[in-house]
Amino acid sequence: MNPAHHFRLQAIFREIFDQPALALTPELSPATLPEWDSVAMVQLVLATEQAFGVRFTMDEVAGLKSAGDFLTLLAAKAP
Amino acid sequence: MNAALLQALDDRALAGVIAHLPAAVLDDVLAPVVAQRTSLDLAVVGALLARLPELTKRETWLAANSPWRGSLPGRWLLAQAWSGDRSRWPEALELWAELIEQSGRYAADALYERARVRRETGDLAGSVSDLISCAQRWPDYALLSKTARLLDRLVAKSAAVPGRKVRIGIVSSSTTELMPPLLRLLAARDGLVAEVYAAPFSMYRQELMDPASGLHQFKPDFIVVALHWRDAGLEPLGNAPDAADRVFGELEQLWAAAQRTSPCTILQHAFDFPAHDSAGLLSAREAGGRAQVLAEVNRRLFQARTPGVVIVDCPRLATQAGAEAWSDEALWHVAKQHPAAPSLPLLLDRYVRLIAARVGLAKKVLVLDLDNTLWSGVVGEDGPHGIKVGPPTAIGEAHAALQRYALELKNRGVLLAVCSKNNDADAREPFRSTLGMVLKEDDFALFVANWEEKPANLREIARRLNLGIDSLVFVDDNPLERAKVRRELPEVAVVELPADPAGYIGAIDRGGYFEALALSAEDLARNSAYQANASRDALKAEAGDVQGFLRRLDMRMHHGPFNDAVQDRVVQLLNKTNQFNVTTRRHGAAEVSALRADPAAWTQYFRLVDCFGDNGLIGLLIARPAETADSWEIDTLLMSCRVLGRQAEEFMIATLLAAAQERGIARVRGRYLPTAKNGMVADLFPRLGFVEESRTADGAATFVWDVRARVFPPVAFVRSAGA
Repeated sequence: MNPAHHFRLQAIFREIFDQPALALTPELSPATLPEWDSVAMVQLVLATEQAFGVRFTMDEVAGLKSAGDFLTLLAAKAP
Repeated sequence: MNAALLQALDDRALAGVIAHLPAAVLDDVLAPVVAQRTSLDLAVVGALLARLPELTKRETWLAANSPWRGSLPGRWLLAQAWSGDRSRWPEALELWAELIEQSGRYAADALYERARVRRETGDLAGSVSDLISCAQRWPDYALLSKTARLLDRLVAKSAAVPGRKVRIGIVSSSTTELMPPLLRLLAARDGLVAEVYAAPFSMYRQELMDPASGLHQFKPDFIVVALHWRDAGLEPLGNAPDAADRVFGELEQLWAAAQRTSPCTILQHAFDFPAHDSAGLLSAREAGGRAQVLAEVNRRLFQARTPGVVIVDCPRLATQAGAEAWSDEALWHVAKQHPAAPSLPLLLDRYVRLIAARVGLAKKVLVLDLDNTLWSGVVGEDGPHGIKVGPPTAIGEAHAALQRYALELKNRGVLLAVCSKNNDADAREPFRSTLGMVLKEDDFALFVANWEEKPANLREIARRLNLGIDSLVFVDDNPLERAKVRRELPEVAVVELPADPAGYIGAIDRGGYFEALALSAEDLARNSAYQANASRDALKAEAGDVQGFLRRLDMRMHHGPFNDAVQDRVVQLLNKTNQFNVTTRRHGAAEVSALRADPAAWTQYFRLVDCFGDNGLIGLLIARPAETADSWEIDTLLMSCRVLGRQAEEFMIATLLAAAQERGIARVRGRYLPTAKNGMVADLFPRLGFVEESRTADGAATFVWDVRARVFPPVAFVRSAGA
C-alpha cells in the first residue's frame, strides 16, 4: 500500500463523512460505514478523481466495494 | 539525492517525487527545500503533508519558530499541521489569516481551511463567514462542494446564516442529490437563506401535477424544472411536424398545473443540445431534426412571457462551461447526473442570480476603479497621454472593451460610479483628452476620486444614490483594495479580477450581478443604443455597392499637428508600421519632439471615426523643406492597414497639399523606398496623381506634385472634424 495514497484518500473520507478521526482501513466499506450510501459513493468518486487527477471507467466504479478497492485502483492509475 | 536538484523541479514534478523519496532523506534534503521554495502549489503541500509523520526532526520543523515559516508552501504546511493539533489552534488561525491574503489563487482554499479550524474552536459564525468568502471567489466544483458540505454541517449545528429566506424546489429527470448543498451555499453568498427540496429522481411530472406531492407540500417560492435534451423525447431525425408544439405544450400544462397548487415562480431550463448526434448537421438542417425542434422549443420558451415563468438559458451555460464539463457520459450512466459535476456551480449560480433578481436583490451599481482598471497605467504619474486605452496596443484594447461593456450595462439601466484613489482633476482628465476612451464623465452617476479609503467611499456612494450598500458591485484591479472592501463591507459584491485585463469582462459577466428578468419600458427609453444598433443593421443590408457603403460609413477625420496627446502613439506607429509606409523611417521620441519644435517642419496625425466607432490613430504625415525653401519632401507617410480602401490616404494627401499651398510651397516630393514589406505602396504616389521624376535600379522612386498648377480633387466620403 502506497502510504501517500493512503494518507490523501483518508483525508477525502474524513471530509466527506465528516469524521476527523476516521482511520482508513482497506476493509472499510458501506457495510461497516452506514453513511456510505450511493450519494456518498458519487462524492467519493468525484473527489478522488479530482484530487489524484485520474478518471475511473464505469467498470472500475462498479468494482469499488471498499476503501481497499480505491487504494488498489489508485496504485494502478495514480502517480 | 541533492537538494538543488529537487529545488529545480517544477511543482508538478516535485509533488510526484515527494511521494517516492526514501524516508532517510526527508529531514536533511526535502525539509530544507520546503523552507526555500517560493512557488505555492497545493499538490506539493498535500504530498508533503502525507510524508510529515516520517520526519525524525518533526518537532523542530513544526515548532513555532520553524524554518518553514519563511516560505509560502512552508507556511501552508505548518498551518495544515497545526490545524490538526488542538493546542496549536490559535497559532493556526493567525497563520491562516496571513495565508488568506498571501495565497493568490489559493485564497479560497485557505478560507475553507480556516473555516474548518474555526468550526473546531466553536466559532460557528466565523466559520460561516469564511465559507461565504470562499464561495465568493469562484472555486471549482471540488472545493465548492467541500465548502457546501461544511456549511450544511454548521447549519445542522444551528449556526446562523444571514439573509432572506427562500424555499426552492427542484424537479428533474436527472439525479438532484448533488445540487442542494451547492445551491444553499451560493444562495448564502448572495444574501439568501435557501431551504431546498429535491424531488425524487425522474418524478418531475408527478411532482408538478399532483397537488399532494412532496413538492407542493414543501410550499416552494420557486420551482426549478431542470430538464435537458433527453426529456424532450425526440428522435435524431423525422420527428412529427408538431413535435415542438407537443414539447412546448406539455411544459405549459405542467407550469399551469404546478402554479394552480403552489403560487410560485418557475425556473424552466431551456433545452441543451446533445453532445453527440448521429444525424450530425442534418439534425439542425432538416425539418423534424432534433436540433431544429429543440431550437424551436427554446425560441418559444424565450418568447412565451408566461407570468411567473423564468427561463434558464442552458444552451448558453453549456457553451460557457465547455462541452467536456457539461456532458459526461460516464457520470450519466453511473449516476444519472446531468449536467456533469464541474458545470453545477455555473448552473446553480444562474438559479441564484435569477432568484435574487426576482426577490429584488439584483445589484444596481457598477463601481469602477480607474488606474489599471479602466485603463492601463497610472494617470497621476503617466499623465493622460501616457496611459493606454483603446488602439493600438492590445492591452489598451482590452481596457476599452471593459469600458464598452460598462457602457452597455449603463444603456440597459445599470448605474455606473467611479471610486478611485486619485486627485479629482487627474482622474477626470483622461475622460476629456485621452484618445481611445469609450466612457465619458456624464456616463457616471457619481464620480468619486479622492484619497479616502475605498470602504468609506463606497458607503458614501450608496448613501448619495439612496441605495443599499448591498446593491454595489466593486471592480478594482488591486487585490489589497478588494480585500479591504471584503473585510469591511461584506455586503458589497467584490469581483475577483484576474491578472490579465483580457479577463476583466469575463469575471464581471460570470457573476451575473445585473441579471434582469425583463427590460422595462423605462430601461428602453433610456437606451439610445437600441437605435444605433438598428441603423447599423440597416446599413449592412443596404451597403451593396462600395460608394454607397463609404457614404453611409459617415467618416469623420480628426487631425492636427503632433501634440502631447498623440506623442506616444506617433512614436509607436513610426516604429511598427511596415506595410503602408512609403519611407519606413523609424523616428524615436526625441526626433519626434525635435520635429514638433521645428517651425519649418509640418506634421499631422489622423484619427478616423465612423458610424461604428473610433478607429484610433490611423495615419501620420511628416513633411519638411528639401533642396529649396519652397519645396517640401514627404519624410513619412504611413497608414494603418485597418482602414485601407476608405479614402483615408486621399484625405491625408489632400490635407498635406492644402497646407503646402497655404504656406506658399511650390512643389511637394514624395519618395518610395522599397523594403521587403511595403510593396503595397509602390504605386501609391502615381495612383494619387503624383508625377514620377526619377527611379533607381533598386526600385526607389521620386514623385512630385506641382502645388501651383494643380489642386487635389475633393475627397467625397471623409470629412474633416477638426483636431
